Amino acid sequence: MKILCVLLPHFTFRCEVLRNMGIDVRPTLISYGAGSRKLLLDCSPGLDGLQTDMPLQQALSRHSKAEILQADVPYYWSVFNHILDGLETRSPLVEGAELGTAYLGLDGLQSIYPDDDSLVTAVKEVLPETFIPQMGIADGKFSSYLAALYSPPDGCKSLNGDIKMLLEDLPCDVLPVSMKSKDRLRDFGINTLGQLAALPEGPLQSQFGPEGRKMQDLARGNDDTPFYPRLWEETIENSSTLTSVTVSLETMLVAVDELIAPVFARIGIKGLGISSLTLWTRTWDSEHWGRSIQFKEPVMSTQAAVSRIRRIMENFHQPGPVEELGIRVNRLGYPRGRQKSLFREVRGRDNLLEDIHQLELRQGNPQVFKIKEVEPWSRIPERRYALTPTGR
Amino acid sequence: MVPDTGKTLRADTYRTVNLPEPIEVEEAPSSLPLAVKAPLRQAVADVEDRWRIDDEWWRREPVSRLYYEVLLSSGLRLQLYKDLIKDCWYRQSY
Repeated sequence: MKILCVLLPHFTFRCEVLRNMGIDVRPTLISYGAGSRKLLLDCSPGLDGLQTDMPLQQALSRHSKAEILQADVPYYWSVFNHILDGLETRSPLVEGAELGTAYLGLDGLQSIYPDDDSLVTAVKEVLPETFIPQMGIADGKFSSYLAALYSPPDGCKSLNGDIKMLLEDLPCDVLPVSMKSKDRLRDFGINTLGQLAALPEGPLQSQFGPEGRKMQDLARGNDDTPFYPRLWEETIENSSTLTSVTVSLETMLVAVDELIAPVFARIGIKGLGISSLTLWTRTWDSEHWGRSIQFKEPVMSTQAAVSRIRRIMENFHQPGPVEELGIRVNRLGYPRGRQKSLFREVRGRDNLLEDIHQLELRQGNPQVFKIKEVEPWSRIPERRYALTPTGR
Repeated sequence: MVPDTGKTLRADTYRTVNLPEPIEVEEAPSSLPLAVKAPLRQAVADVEDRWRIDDEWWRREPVSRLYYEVLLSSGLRLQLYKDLIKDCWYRQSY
């Protein structure tokens, strides 16, 4: 399959430039946390000796005057998803493999784009100007990635036929494997793909496991990396800034409740429930925390969703006091079976909630509120309780 | 200092309870309340209690309040505070 790889170098840095033009002229490092370690995600173009996933201390030792920014991953993904939406107007098959790297399936598009130049021009039209793309066209994902990697900025390179000769002299750093594996290859003195391809399979697999096999296949030009075009799915996003930064689980859960309730107001009428959602928070010092939560059976009520989220939040602690949190509902689903309650009082409550909901629809805004404890221990009286709409 | 995110809460879903209400207060030179307009002018017969809270010093708008529990000449009991940053008076039950 013919594939176009669109590489957006320094993608996350460019995203930061989009919202703050000033950082374009300052040396900047973008870092993220992995457990207790701080690693480098991206940096300003032109800073030498830096690599994604390297420890931040190591990066700072090379560029001590650089400004450090905390990675805002949800924001980067929202920018990238907009770009993928744009690319889908050029080809129906688009895969957003990782931030800043997109693949487009080109089979069957010859009548729309008779040559590579017309295709490249069409793709450039949908990319924001801040990003300077490098594009590559080849018969597989890895080879199109290599073509993009070695194409000039704002240009495109095509690789046709046998690429084994080309691969021989390339450094192992181009392989799409973990930083740890690349470091180990270097420790073994294997620096080029040619050296890697010449090794016997057995010892390599015993050292690197399945990743060793994959590395060697790619180094030998056997690229069978599957192409996964993204599927259309309805996503619902909602976020909220807390009235004050907090470490209290209860306060965060009240906010989560407020974010999830409107989702059910929207999907409940269709009889749908939530099958999967992503919960994220941002701390006061802009550190990001996120968890993906899957529900075996779609949850049909706010209470059920919040009770599961409570368990997740109890087990995975926040990196600091939280100022903003949000949800992204990725997948909706129908329940397998649902029965109305046997008990009259439960059915009565359901009917009351339905009446309140109808009243809200008729008047256009919430009419009945309930008092919720937010921070009952707060020394500031107005922080202790909040009114939230009933029946959501 | 925590930067202001500039994002407003969704007013239709989340409402704060017990917000302070501005009130006119005549002050003595010692800063104690002498009379309150609630809504007619009433002299303060007694200051029964006084306490101070300082909080959220890390935010752009820190909280610094001096609360008074006062008994008015009409027998009405009120809880007031002076916002020490904005230098104005509010009524709020604590």
